[in-house]
Amino acid sequence: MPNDAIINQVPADQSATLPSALPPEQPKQPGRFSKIFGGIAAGALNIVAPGMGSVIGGFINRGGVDTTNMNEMLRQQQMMSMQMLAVQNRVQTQTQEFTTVSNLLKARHDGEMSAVHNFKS
Amino acid sequence: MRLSHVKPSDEELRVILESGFVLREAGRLDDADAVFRGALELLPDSDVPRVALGTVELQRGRFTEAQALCEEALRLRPASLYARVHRAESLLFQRRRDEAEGELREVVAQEPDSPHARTARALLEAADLICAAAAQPDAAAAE
Repeated sequence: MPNDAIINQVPADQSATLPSALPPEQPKQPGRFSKIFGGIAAGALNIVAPGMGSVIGGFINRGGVDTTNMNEMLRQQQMMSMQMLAVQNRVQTQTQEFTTVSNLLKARHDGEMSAVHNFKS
Repeated sequence: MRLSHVKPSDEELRVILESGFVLREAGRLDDADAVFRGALELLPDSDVPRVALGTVELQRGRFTEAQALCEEALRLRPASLYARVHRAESLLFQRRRDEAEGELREVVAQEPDSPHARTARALLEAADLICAAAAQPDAAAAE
């Protein structure tokens, strides 16, 4: 390497501040494939196991494990699953009640019409 | 013109009764009441207008009055399944569940294929709901 004053006048520790022809380095981002695949996996797994899909999908998206966030997410997902079950139970109960009342109203109406048509017998 | 001078045909009487039920379902209970009282004048020996008046009382939450009207109809026509079913309904709303369910089961056993037996079965299925509704404070207040 030639010992040129012009070339060597910049100290080595300042080289980082020099403009570079290369594009600036960015933190590692998940690839497009990971993003898309993560989204699909999250959706599919949410159907099989509500809550788990988002966790696994997020894991694929980020390309790594963050245990603190994952535990928090798992806890939230578990809570949401419980709430979802409670809502499903309430909806099922209300549907049953609606069917019972609907049957009763129809039967009563039929009975009344029968009484009206046979009021002399 | 007196009501006793009016001689409606059977078809006209049916229309009068049906209009009473329509009014009741529309929530116009006073109008339904008036129609059924008129029908009662025209059909003094029939159980139908009395029980129909009873169902209006049920809608108003006056369960003992409803029961009394159904029992009046039963005195006129002891075999009336229509009156028995709605008497049982009024008992359910008074939370006299055992008596009501006994009556309803008898109706079902007597004529299983009749429309009144179907109402009785539907009431048996809805007994929990009716008793729960009757236990609400506003229902008790209405009574």
